[in-house]
Amino acid sequence: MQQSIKALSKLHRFTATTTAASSIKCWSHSQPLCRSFSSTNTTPNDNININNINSNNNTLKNEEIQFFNNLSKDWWNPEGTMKPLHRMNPLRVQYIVDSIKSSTSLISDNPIQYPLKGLKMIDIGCGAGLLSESLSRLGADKVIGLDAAKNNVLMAKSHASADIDLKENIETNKLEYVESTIERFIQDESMVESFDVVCSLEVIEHVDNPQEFLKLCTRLLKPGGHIFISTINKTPTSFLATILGAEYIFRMVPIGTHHWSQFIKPADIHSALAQNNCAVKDTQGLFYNPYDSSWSLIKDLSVNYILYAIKK
Amino acid sequence: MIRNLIKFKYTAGTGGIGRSLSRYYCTNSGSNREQYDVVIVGGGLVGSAMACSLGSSPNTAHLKVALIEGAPIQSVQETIVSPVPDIRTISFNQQTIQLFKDIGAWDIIKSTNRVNPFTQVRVWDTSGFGGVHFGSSSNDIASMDTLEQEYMGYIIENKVVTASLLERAKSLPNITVRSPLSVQSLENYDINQQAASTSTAGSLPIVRLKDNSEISAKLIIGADGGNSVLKKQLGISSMGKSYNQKAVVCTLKLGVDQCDSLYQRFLTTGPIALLPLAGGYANIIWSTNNLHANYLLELDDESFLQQVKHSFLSGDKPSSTDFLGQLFNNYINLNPTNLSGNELYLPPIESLVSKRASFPLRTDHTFEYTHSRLCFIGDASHLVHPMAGQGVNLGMADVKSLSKKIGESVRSGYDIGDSMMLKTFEEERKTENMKMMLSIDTLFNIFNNNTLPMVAMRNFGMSFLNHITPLKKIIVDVSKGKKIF
Ligand SMILES: Cc1cc2nc3c(=O)[nH]c(=O)nc-3n(C[C@H](O)[C@H](O)[C@H](O)COP(=O)(O)OP(=O)(O)OC[C@H]3O[C@@H](n4cnc5c(N)ncnc54)[C@H](O)[C@@H]3O)c2cc1C
Ligand SMILES: C[S@@+](CC[C@H](N)C(=O)[O-])C[C@H]1O[C@@H](n2cnc3c(N)ncnc32)[C@H](O)[C@@H]1O
Repeated sequence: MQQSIKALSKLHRFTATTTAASSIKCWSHSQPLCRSFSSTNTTPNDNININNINSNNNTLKNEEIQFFNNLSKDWWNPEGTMKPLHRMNPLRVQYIVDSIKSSTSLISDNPIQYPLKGLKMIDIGCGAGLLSESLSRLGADKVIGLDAAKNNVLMAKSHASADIDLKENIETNKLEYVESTIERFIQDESMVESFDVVCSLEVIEHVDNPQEFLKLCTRLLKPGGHIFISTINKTPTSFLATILGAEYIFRMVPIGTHHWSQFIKPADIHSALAQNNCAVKDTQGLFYNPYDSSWSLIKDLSVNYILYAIKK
Repeated sequence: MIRNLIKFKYTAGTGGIGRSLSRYYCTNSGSNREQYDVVIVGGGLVGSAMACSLGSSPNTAHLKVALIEGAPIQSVQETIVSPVPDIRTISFNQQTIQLFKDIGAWDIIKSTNRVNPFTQVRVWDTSGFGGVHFGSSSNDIASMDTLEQEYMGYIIENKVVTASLLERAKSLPNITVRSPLSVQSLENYDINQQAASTSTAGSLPIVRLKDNSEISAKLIIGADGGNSVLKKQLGISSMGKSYNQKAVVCTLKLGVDQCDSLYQRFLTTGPIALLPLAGGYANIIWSTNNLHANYLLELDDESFLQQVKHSFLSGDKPSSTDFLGQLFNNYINLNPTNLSGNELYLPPIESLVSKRASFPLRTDHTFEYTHSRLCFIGDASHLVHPMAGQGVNLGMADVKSLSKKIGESVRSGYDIGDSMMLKTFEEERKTENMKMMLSIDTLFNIFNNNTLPMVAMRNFGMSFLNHITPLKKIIVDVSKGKKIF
C-alpha cells in the first residue's frame, strides 16, 4: 500500500507552479514561462524568451524550481522518480494503437512496425516526450509534442536527438517539440482541425480550467479524428491514495503537492467532450501493481483511467 | 560462497568507444560491419530456440537476427545416423514442448523418431524402505494437479533437438545462422556507461567475431552457456557454488523395446537417474562426489554396469573385489532395502553402449540478466544441478518471456534494446528462476545428507510419499517445472 501510494504520488507530483497563460497551469522549471509559439524548430540553446503573454509568477517557489530542475534531469531515468510513468507508457501506447486500429482501417503497408503511418498526431503536455517518442517510432507522419515548460521541451528534444532512430525524425521534423501553451498554439489557424489524433495524458489534472482545455484539444482535431485523455479520477479512493496517504500520513511528498479538487471524474470529461462534438468510445482503468511495477487495464476507474473518443 | 568475478571495464582497442559513429548504420571504412537488429551469441538449445521464436512471432518476424555459434552445426539427418543415442539427453517438460510447437520446431524434432514420451516418474531412496511412484495415469496425481496432461514430458537427445531448432531457424527468412564462428568480444560497449539514463542514445555495440568481421546490433542476447565468455569479458558478476559433484553419463541398451518411466534413486552420494530413450535405450545420469565419479569412470564396462544395476537395486551386492569398490558399496548400502526390479518395474538393463563422460556440477546465478542493449538467457544467466532436469526448461521459459517482451517493445514503439523493457523481462524471470533454484537446492540438501534427523525425515517422507506428504509434491512439482516456493 505504502509503495503504491508512493508510486501514485510520484506520478502526480506535479503541482502547478506558475500560471503563464490565462487558465492554464504549466510546469516551470527555470524561467518565467511561455514564450510565444513558433512552429519553427528551436534549438536547445535557443533562449529567446518573449513574455508577450500575461506573465504571473507570484506562485513560483524557489524550492519548486529546484525540484523541477532536478526532475527534468530525472525524466528519462526509467528507474528514477518517473518510474511509474515509464512503466505505464507501453500499455497506453498499445491502447492508443489498438483503439485507432479498431475504428479505422489504417493505411499502413507495415502494420506491425509502423501502424501509425499516415497519421498526424499531437501530444499535448508531452513532458520529456515519453509518449511522443513511441508514437514517432510507430511511424506517424507527424508528431508534435507540445509542452509549456521550457525545460521539458529541451529535455525532450535532446533525448530524441540522441536516439539512433529518432534522430532522423527530429531532423526531418516528423517529430517536433514545441514549447507553448495550447491557447497560444491554437492561435495558429492552420493547426485548427488539422490533427488525426490528439493525446493528452496525465495533464488535465494540472490545468486550471479543464472544460476550456478539452475544448481547445478537440478544436485541433479533424472531424473523425481520435482523442485520448488520461488522468486521475475524483473519488474517495484516489483521495486516500494520493492526498491523504502520500501527503498527510506517509509524508512522502510535501503537503499540497496534489489538488484533489482538480482531479476529474470520467463523466465530466464525457460531457465536456460531448459538448464539443466528440463521442466517447471506451474508458479503461489503469492499475499500478507496486510489487512488480506493472500496469494493467482494469474495469475499475476509481484512480487512474484513460478515455478514448472520436470527433463527429 | 560468493564468487565475484573480477570486475574490469572493457574498452575496445582500436575500434572501441573512441570511434564514434556518425550514423549507426554507416559502414566503417576498412572493416565490413554488418548491421542487425539482434545478435544471439551461442546456438545451443536456448540460443537456437530464441532465434526460432523471434522468427515465428508476428511482432518480431521483421527483425534482422544473426545467430552466432562457435561449434560446427550438424544437420538433423547427421544426428540420427547412428542408431545409438548420444549420451547428452534432456527431459523436456510440457511447457517446453509447447514452445517447440509454437516456434514450428516440434514437427522436425518428432520426424526423427528419436523422441520418447514418459508418463511416470519413479523415485526412491537408499537408506529407507519407502518408494514413490507418480505418473499421469495415477489418480492420485490427477487429483493433486488437475492440469495433468497425458505425458509428463519427453526425453530427447540434446543434439537432435539442437539440430532441429537450427534447421528451423535457417528456414526463417529473418534469421541468419553463422557457424562455426566464435564471438571474440563485445566492443563499443561499456556496462557502466549503459546505466546512464538515456538508454538508447549513442552508437550501437559491436560484436567482433573470430574472423575479425564485425556486427553491430540494437540488442545482444547472450546464450553462450554456463561458461559465458561474454559475461566474463564484461565483468558481470554472479553467485554460485560447486556441489563438488560430477554427473557420470552414459547410454544403455535395455532389454525392452519401449519404456515410459523415468527412474531416479537418491543415494547418499547423490541421485542416479535412468532416462528412457526411443528404441529401447536409456540414458544414465549419475551425480556423485568427485572421488566416486572418477572411480566410476575408470571401471571396466562390465563392472560399471554392475555398479549401475546395484545402485538402483542395492539389495543384491555386486562382486566388487577392489577395496575402493567395496568401500563405495558399503557406503551406498548404508541401509539396504532389498527392493527388486520387479517391484520398481525397472526395465532389464542389457548392455553399456557408449563411452562414459562426466560433467562437473555447480550452480550459478547472474545478478543482473539485463543491461541496456544486452540480455542473458539460459545457462549463461542461471546454472542448476541436473537432478531435477530443469536446466533447459528454465532457459526455454526465458526464451518465451524475452521474445514476448521484444514483441511488446515493437508494439509499444520502443527500441528493442531499451533497458526498461529488458528489465521487465528480468523481473519476470528472475524470481521464477530463483524459486526453482531454491527448490532444487532444497531437494539436494534433503537427500544429500546423512545426519539422523534428515535420514529419518527422508524415510518417513518416502514411505508416506504416495499419500499426502509435501515431499512428494515437491518432487512432482520440481520435476514438472514448477517451483515449490
Ligand atoms: C548431465 C546433465 C544432464 C542434464 N539434463 C537436463 C535435463 O534433463 N533437462 C533439462 O532441462 N536440463 C538438463 N541439463 C541442463 C542443460 O544441459 C543446460 O541447461 C542446457 O544445455 C543449457 O543450454 P544453453 O543453450 O543455455 O547453453 P549451452 O548448451 O551451453 O550452449 C551454449 C552454446 O554457445 C556456444 N558458444 C559459447 N561461447 C560462444 C562464443 N564465444 N561464440 C559463439 N558461440 C559460443 C557453444 O558452442 C554452445 O553451443 C543437464 C545438464 C547436464 C550437465
Ligand atoms: C504529468 S506530466 C505528463 C507528461 C506526459 N504527457 C506523459 O504522460 O508522459 C504533465 C505535463 O503537462 C504540461 N502542461 C501542463 N499544462 C499545460 C498546458 N496548458 N499546455 C501545455 N503543457 C502543459 C506540464 O508542463 C507537464 O510536462
